Amino acid sequence: MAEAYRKEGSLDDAFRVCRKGLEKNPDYSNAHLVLGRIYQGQNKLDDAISEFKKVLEIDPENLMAHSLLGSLFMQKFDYKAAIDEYQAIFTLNPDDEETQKLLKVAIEKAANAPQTGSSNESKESSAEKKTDSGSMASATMAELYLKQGHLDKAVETYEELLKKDPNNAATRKKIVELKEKIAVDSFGSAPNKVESHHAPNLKTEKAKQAHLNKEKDSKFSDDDILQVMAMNRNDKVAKPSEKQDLIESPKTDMKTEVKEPEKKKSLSESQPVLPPHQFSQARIDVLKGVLAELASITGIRRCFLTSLEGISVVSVGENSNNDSLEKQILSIFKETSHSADKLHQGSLQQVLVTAETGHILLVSFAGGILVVLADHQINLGMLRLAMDGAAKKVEKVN
Amino acid sequence: MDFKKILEEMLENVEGSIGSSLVGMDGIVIDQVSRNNSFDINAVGAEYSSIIKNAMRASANFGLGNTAEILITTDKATMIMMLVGKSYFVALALNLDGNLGRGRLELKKAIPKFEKELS
Repeated sequence: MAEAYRKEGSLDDAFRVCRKGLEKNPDYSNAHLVLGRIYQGQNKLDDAISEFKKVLEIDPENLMAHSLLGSLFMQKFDYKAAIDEYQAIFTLNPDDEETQKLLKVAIEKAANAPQTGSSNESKESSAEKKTDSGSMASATMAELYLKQGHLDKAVETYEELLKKDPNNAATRKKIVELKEKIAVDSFGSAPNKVESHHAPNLKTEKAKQAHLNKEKDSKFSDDDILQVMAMNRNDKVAKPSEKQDLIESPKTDMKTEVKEPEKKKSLSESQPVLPPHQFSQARIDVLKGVLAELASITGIRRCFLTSLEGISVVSVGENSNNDSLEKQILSIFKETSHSADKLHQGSLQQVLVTAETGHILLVSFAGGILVVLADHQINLGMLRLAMDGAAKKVEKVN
Repeated sequence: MDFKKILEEMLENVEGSIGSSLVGMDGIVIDQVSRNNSFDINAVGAEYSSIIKNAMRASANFGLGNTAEILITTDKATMIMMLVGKSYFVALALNLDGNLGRGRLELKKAIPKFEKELS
């Protein structure tokens, strides 16, 4: 009845009915909810908040109370509290797109809120700040998705982020890592899984730790939100010129991730790209030699070895330096491997794609995936022989 | 429709073949023949259809034109898949000691037959 009075605009009547009801039954959550809405209608925001909090004391999963509290906190510019409420809804209902948007807005607002930043920050233009905070909000959302175990949503968010900032190596790396994790999760264990390809990186380790803890606590704490925001603040603007300073990893690590525009290289130019750390320099030198030998076979256009995380280790021959192609190749190999596993066909050895004007050969090789691009005229028998020979040479080194 | 007949003919002509199937690009198997009960050729066709789509995209992106064939080798078997028009593919599974060259040849020979039946 109180709600009916409230909707009619008879707030006094609504208030009277609510009060009367609550005297008889103080734990009646709906009455607190209506009372809160009455206060809200009277612009008594603190009283409204107090009533909505009472609702949540009685019924912690009351989505309406969380939502109303979120909007009230936003009105009061208490973005951190608003984030708490929206993330509570998000935890209860991860598919609630409206809340996802509200949460993102709250995070953006929180990021834009005045704070005691460094002098460098104060020099940033407002436009830059807006872009950065938007990116940070997205990155924070992605991390929150991660924390809740929604890896696919995290990937989507990171991919949106990468579209806005294609040079952000950290984001790209996270996407690759997550896709790897999704693939591993979906088929138990990755084929020929390598241990780890990254040099120690404090931020990555933090993110991983946060992810590992998700089972313990699927709801984000204030500290989680702040930690993620702080983390993103540090790597959000990983512009190429700043990367070396921001990330405490070997310089070669970043070098390989920042791809140059498309260009051709001669056969003699082996590309000393980013060695994941299980690929020692000595091993890379041997691989270069083996790949150069392969590339000398008539009809081979390009060979490159990519780690299972999608990072180029050695590349010989025509080089498009096209990151997305390498990822595409990697996904074909992983998907096929997944399928083979599901079909109990054992571990995947190779995939050969024959197209109108050439072949793509993907082979599990030296702890990574060897990709060979060849002309259509190539003798496939000879190529297979050469591949076997190359594999033996690499094995000897191991 | 003589799909099964064409598939059986392929199996008969290829030493070490396990099964074959004609599959739509949507993963739905149109017909299949299997010599090995433990090898679910139906599932194979359906499972690999998305891989074919990805391979088609990769071929195009690498400037190699349209995909014609995909060969997958695992610890236990080899699978050859060839496109039949734009909407179908035919798959042939072989033991590791199967005659791969013969398998490819028989598949190539079978494609016009399938195309004729599907037209």
